[in-house]
Amino acid sequence: MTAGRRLASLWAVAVFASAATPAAAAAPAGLRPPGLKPEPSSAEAGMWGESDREEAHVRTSAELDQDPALTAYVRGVVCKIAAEYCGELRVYVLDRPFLNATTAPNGYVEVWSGLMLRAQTEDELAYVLGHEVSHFARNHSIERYRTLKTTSNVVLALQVGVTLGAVVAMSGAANSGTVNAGDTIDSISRAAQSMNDLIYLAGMARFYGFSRENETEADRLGYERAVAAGYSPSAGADLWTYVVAETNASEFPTVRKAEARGSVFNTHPITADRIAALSNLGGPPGGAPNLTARRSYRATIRSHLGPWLKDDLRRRDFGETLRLLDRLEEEGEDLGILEFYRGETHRLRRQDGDAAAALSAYRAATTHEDAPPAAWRELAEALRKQGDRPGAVQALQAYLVHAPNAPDRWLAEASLKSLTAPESP
Amino acid sequence: MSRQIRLTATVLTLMLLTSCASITSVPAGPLTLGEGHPATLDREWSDISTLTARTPQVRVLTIDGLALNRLYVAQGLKPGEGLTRPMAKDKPVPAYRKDMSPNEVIEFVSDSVAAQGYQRVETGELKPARLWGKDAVRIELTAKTETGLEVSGVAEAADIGGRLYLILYLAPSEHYFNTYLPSVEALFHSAA
Repeated sequence: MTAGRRLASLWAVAVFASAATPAAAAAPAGLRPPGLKPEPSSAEAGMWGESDREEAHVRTSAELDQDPALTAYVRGVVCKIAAEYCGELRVYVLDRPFLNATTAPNGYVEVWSGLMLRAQTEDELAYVLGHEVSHFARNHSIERYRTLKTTSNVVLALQVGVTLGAVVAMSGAANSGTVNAGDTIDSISRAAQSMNDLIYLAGMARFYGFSRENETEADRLGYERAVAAGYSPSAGADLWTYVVAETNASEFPTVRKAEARGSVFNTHPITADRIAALSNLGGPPGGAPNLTARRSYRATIRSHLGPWLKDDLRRRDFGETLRLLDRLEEEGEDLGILEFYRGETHRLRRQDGDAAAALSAYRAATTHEDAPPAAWRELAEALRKQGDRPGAVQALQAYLVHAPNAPDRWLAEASLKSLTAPESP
Repeated sequence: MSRQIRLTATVLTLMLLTSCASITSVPAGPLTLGEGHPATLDREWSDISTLTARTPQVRVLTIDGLALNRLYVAQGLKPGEGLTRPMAKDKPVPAYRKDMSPNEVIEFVSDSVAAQGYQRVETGELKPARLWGKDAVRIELTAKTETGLEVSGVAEAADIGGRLYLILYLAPSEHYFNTYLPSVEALFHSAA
């Protein structure tokens, strides 16, 4: 990760995903007037420059979603909750499988696909965007920027020290002429990287400490913006309740202990506090689901479900993906796609019971019209592994019917030939 | 920010200069992979394996540097091993598994490329191939770097005795991929 991207990531994580604790509210900063431009000599001017560079980077990023309708939709939600800033907020949807969104002081808004996949309604998306716009409206970035500059300079100095130490150590190893010198260098390099990560994380933790009041205020103001625009008062608490459930389903103890993404620097139940604060404002989560709102939102993201779920699987946190699939299946829609990815999740996890669960999911997927052709191919492979050759043949034949021009057709035909050949005694 | 970038660049340069001893030449000629699997390089490459977080069975070769061309040579991955080692327990990398189907091997290659930081990894044409007399699959790939640069790739992979042998070549689509593709094809041919 380049220095610029690292800072950008720090900034991104620090904004929405920081899961701030509602605490004593800070004195509110002045409301930002629409069309604000910083004085060239001001601290914010430097931050705008960095934001401009990040925005230029995102415009050419391979992760930039290429669906203009989706971007227009998100922009529409932003304008509903922040009409006064509509003309200066520029929305970019990035295909990144994590729940996150950011708004930079120059009006550049990033929305990650992991958020759009996890929101169940436009209301939940609007709550998050309202939170982000509130940071923008309250000019929270100035305080963050000053903190960041101080902290990052210290962090950089420590990182340079560690790296130089590693360079000296690696040089010694390289000149030692031992058989394992290469592995030693690699180990030192990785150790230095780990140490630098620790220093970097410590820097982020420091950064968090300065932003929590702002986060709390953004939660409240975001809630007020979303509700004023007609969105559900319980949307924020609903979304955070789900985030806790998904995190608790993680494959990894470190993630489960963190309680919510982005909260790794905190040792107390910040998400629970946040849900409580939002519940005080808008009522408790878990009310009767608004099926119309859910179905409308699903229709908006439907064409992205498959690619986004494939991206999510690359995180290889299969417990979280299975919990996400449970949530996505609540409306009883898109079951061909969703059951296929449930099968994929179990197939990749390979724990006890996963083979049977994958088979069951693939079988269920193929009963729905929206199942991708690969569902039949994977069903065939799952049946073959179970020893059900006739079932595997039938599924493979169905695969070739559904995907007659598949690039792996020759593999399927070879497998069919093998499955229909007489079994050797 | 600019000062930070300059400092980082200086440190990286220092690291590269002092670690040159770990970059070795791999001359044109015979190359033995794993347990006696012969192949031939038709030109010189540089072995930069020790500068990467690869698993011990993987060699990483380049001609012009990692960003411009890279050749991964996996010399018999055992079940549970990937092209690279995971940096943390909660950040696993794709791993070769016992009894993978050919489609799972293709998926392993594609996911391993994505795990190197490439975006939009897509498999293209798939063809049967041979590696050391065993059935193999040839995989064509496209991807993008984080900054949007188009990248092409080609790989051949085979399960031989419960271990995965893989030769994977990646380079920017413009100029670099085709420039060295004949050398990679010659390597594939020598290992057929």
